[in-house]
Amino acid sequence: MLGIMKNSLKERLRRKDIYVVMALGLLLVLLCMSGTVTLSIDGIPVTDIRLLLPFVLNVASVIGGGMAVAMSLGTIPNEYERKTSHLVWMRGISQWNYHGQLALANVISSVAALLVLYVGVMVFAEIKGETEVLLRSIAGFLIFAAGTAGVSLFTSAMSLLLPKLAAGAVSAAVMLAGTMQPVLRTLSGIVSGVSRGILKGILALTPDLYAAEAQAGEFLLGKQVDVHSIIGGFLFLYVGAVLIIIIRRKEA
Amino acid sequence: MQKQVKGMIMTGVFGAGLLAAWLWTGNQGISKENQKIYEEAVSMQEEVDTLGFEGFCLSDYPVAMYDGTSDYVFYEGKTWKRPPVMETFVGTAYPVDDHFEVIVPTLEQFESLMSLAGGVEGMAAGSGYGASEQKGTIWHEAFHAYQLTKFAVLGEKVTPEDMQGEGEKSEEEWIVTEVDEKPDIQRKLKGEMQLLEKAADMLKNQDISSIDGLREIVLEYSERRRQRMKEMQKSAREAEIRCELTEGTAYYVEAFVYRMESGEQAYEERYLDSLGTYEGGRGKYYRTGLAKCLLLDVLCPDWKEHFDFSKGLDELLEEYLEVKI
Repeated sequence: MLGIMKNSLKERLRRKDIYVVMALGLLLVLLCMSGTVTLSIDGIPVTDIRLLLPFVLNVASVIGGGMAVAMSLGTIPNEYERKTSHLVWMRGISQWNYHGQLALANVISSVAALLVLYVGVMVFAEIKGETEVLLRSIAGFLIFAAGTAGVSLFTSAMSLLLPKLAAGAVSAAVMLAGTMQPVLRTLSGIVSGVSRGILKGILALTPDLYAAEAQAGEFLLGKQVDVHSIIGGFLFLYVGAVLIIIIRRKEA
Repeated sequence: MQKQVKGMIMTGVFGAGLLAAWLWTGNQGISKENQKIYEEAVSMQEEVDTLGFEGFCLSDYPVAMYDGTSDYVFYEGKTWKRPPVMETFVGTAYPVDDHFEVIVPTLEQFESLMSLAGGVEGMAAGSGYGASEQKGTIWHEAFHAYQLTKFAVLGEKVTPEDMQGEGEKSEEEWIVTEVDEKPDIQRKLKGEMQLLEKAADMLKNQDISSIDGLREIVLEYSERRRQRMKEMQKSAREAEIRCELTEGTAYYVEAFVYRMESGEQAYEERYLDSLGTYEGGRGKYYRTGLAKCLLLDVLCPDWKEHFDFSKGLDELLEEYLEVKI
């Protein structure tokens, strides 16, 4: 039943580029945590895991979001280009089922790539003796991955609707605006006139991926989480899934 | 087909539920952390009373926190939401209807704002601006509301209507054009600030066994300042005196609150260690004003007894020096 998705995943596993990107991402995350990258507040170096964790998760989510866009962008258009879709229609499989399985393969590979980065962070937490963080890691990952999965679904949906380049640009813009929401919100309070209108518009149209991801950090550290932000992450995921179902493409 | 319709309905219901939960949780108003900050700030009244500013009470003024969308106003035990009075992130005492209110960004927005000012590192790691700093800011702005409500600062009573009108050349403009952009004046002011810092260092190190030594420094400072002032335009002089009086005293209150919250070392690092630092605009007068308040506390401990903002801090210092000479 999920043969299309399995095939898509197998094809992805055969590609080498994704491993390179994942390795580079993991390296960056480990560098941030190892102290090689110097980070300081008021001139005081930050080495405490409890201060580093939110920062590194933030970095990981941006890298993960970028990987989700890259991995989800070409899957469906490539299938159409290779005319494999034609074989699918002949077997009586509906468009939404076909698109859904390919999008699911995108989500699984994006979340798996994010998991590699996340495991890197958790290993570091364990080395630092933060066992409590480790105990919360599974539930923490569900919160953490919602935004990335949403980005993957959204990118898949855009790839159905727009040419590849445009879909990539829109998805990357949404992902970046989402992860930079606090900065944009603050900027919108500083600027005025048209700039403020534009920023307010961007804020209204993009999901607050930063807040959703930040809750994972709060949860891992045993702090109080903001349920609204977590639901916001899942709502974006839901919107992405609905877009995959409703957007149709000319059958080829 | 029926199965498909059923699936669509289920999806729609699930989505509606998710959306409803998102909207409902988003409508919870201001965060508990901000509420706690306000409550804890108000609870410091008794300690702030020991400073001796008669009739200064934080709970006399509504405190509005702006979260980027709405103001959340705390007043008389109630909290309510309203459209923002100032659609910008600023800490200020601002006229609302016929009275002055304290307006500050929420802690989250302030933190974000300060992080942004800290560049990439600040954005990634945060600014270090937290609850103690926010309480200090609330008290600082409440002190401005107190000044504006109860006093005619340097003989000039400012009403809410005055503040809403368009002014002439601002205090900041006078300071920039007549102090920051005049190298000679700037150099002289820097020298004065070094003297103030030296005096404050004596206070910090509790090296006031020789009160005469402290007086000597203040005398020298006073003389140098008088000479510099002669070289400045009247409006620029007034701008400096006014800024130092209003902001210096508010900064003094803020520093006191921060000290209560964060302890001696953090207080010294944040407020005393930078007393001699020159910066463009009004910022430097916060520090010179604070230094003078601290000096008055030692040289003339009863300086707040009849303090009504009718004269500048230097005038008070000079009065003390004249009495003692």
